[in-house]
Amino acid sequence: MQKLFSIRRGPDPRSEAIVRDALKEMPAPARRLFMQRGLTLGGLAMLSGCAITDDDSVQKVLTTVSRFNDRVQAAIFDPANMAPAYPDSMITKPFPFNAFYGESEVKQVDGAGYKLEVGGMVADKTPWTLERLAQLPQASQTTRHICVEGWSAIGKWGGVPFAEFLKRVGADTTARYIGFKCADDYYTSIDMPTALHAQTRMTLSFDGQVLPAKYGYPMKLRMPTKLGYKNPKHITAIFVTNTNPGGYWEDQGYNWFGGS
Amino acid sequence: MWVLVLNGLIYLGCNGATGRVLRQFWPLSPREILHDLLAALKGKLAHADQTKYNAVQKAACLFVWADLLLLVLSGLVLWKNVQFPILRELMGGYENARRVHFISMAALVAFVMVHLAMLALVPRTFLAMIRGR
Repeated sequence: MQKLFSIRRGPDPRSEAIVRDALKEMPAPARRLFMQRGLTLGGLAMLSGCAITDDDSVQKVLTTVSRFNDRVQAAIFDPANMAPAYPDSMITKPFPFNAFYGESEVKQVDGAGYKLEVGGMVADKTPWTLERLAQLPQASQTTRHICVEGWSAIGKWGGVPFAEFLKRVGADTTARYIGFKCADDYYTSIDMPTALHAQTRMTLSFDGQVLPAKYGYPMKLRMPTKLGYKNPKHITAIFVTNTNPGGYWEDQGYNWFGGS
Repeated sequence: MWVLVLNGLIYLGCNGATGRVLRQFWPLSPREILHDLLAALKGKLAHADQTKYNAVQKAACLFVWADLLLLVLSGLVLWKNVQFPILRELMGGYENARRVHFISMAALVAFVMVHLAMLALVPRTFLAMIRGR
């Protein structure tokens, strides 16, 4: 302890001698190099501390690249390509819950009073009840849900092929976008070719059961050709439009097309 | 991603068009690689002619090409697995493509670390790396 205190009081003459000797051992150019490298390292360390993505011009470049990525994804999207289907034995149990809120805050929608609004460029704007949706032709698929966060899980979703629904409401399929509004205040939008893809479903069931609240009761749109955040849950309104309606995450910088 | 693609295309285009690929990377034999590797480990590797790659450098370069190719192909599967069905099957499915991508990324990082360590040991090769002589 005594020793420690003596060091704190002032520079130890012995340590000064050690440094002097060490410097003698280092030739001058090496010392200079050491300093230069030290400076560069310091510069790098400081750079990691500043948030360059807050800068407006950086944001502009990133947005331009994201829009370019949208166009590339639309160009390589082939409606004939199907996402792989899996045997029911591979369904992930329990299937993960994910939303912009916690599982305890899941929206409880009343199925009896549920009305699905249809708007925009469609011939028939009559709202749909859950009962009427259930009367449309149904199909189920076991596919992989891929999340932008880096995980994926296999689930079995059943419901109405979305192309069939769009035909019934007389949607203008030459329009560019379809927007969705949800009971949990989520919103998103997709491109028309993906909407018409054979695996795009208005989902009413999960693994043979009525769609549970945490997976989007009463109805979610399921697209195995898109990342998870493009698959809206608790949908209350669908509208066909030529103006991009954006989305909850997309308006915060997520890529709009979000294909998988 | 687009920067890597552009950079790769320019590199491969230039190397292919000028025939540098054949000149610089062949011939290459396992015996030479072993010889130069031992020389390097003993600290006796000659750096006299810096316009030529030694056998270990040639092998490392070829390895990185293969690794980058794997990185790009597995990356395409992760990016749009539905649109690249053949590639997806080659990678052993979506989840396996993740593993392939991770391992090839780790291999690339390992290469970069050795590469930088070598440069730190023989700093005078730095100019030759940039100017090519």
